[in-house]
Amino acid sequence: MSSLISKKLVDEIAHLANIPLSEAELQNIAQDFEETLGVINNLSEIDTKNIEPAHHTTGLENILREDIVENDRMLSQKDSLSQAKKTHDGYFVVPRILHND
Amino acid sequence: MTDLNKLTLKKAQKLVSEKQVKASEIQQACINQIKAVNGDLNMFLSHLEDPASGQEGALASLPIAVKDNVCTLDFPTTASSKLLEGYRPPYEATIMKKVKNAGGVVLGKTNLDAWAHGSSTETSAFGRTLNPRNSDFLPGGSSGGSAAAVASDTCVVAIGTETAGSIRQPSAWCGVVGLKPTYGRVSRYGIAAMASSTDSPGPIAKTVEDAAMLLDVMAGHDPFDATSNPDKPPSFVKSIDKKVSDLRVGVLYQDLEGLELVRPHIDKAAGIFESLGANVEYAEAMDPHYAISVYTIVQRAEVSSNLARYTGIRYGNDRSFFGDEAKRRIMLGTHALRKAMLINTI
Repeated sequence: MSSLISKKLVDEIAHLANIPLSEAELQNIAQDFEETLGVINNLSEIDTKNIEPAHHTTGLENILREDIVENDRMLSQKDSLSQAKKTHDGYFVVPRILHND
Repeated sequence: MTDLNKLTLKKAQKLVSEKQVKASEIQQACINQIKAVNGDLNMFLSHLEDPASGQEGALASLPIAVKDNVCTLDFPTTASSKLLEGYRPPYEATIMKKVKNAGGVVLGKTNLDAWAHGSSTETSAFGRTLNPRNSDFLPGGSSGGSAAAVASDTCVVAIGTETAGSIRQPSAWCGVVGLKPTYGRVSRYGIAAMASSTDSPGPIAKTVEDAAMLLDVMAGHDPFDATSNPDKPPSFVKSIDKKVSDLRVGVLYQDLEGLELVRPHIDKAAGIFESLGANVEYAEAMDPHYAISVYTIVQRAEVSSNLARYTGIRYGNDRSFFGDEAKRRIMLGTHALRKAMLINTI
């Protein structure tokens, strides 16, 4: 299975995860991937056909609340912006995602 | 009175309520101890310089060390990462509100594996913590800073978080009491999320009774955490006095490789339970190597989702500031989720 982890695959995943990687990091992570996937591959030894899936431990279902403004946890605009590196006229500045071309 | 920093929560509370000692004196003793040992042990990333006063309440202005992945108003919250270096949360965790309402004072923020990814504090972006019992050794992790803070008497009691050992393991390595509450017993609101379906904040203390006292303050339903348990928690302090004679105690894993060292201690503990009238039963369970594999997949996937929020836009630095371990975990999780998505859509 080691051969499955190509640098190309790692590069694709890095793109999906929005993680900037250097060439050296790509190489290292490809190797780490192989190791970790090798370890967790032991799950293929178990027959899970008759095992009921477990989704959650609490047994809680459909936790609802009133659709109202919760002042207790509402941040002011000033507080919301207080930790941003770049703001403009009371807004967060985000990278451009739409382009003309 | 000397060595006020060594007091247990129970004893400190008693002395303060009887006005034999001022809480500010206990805080000062802890601050002095931090100044004496933190340079070598690196437990606190930030701490009070002078005593502060808390509200009236059970915790009586006593100083509490808090893991640095818990949002606090009075200190930066970094999760021991470069990405969140200097981050000042504009809100605080529910457990911090509870601690403050009970009169506790946050003494400082403790080191952890960055984003709680690890079991030794070695992945912290601000250097590893050393074990106060013997500085040739590590304190364990990820709540290594909190466990070491308790063991070095730099605080009265501390708060950690756990998904799979991050309270219990460092507490064991540092020779203190750590308790991982059942998931949902303590609110996760305002804690840097690692694996949302397992994250459990809990107490680290000098005695079992102290751990129960702090858990009594931390536990309870929180409408801001949809998975918190809506049932009213029992009094954990009162629960200590319950008899164990009607308990069934299971001892798992008889011949597991690596258990030889601890087996005599487990048997001894089982013997104590038996002598107190509990019914001890030995049982086998599925090889835990499989559980570790399941945990690795679920945890990495949840890490990938939870750490997607760190874009450097609303707060913190951009994603190039993630350390190696976080990058690895995010990417493995992204791989697992992508695989699952492909399978589900076919």
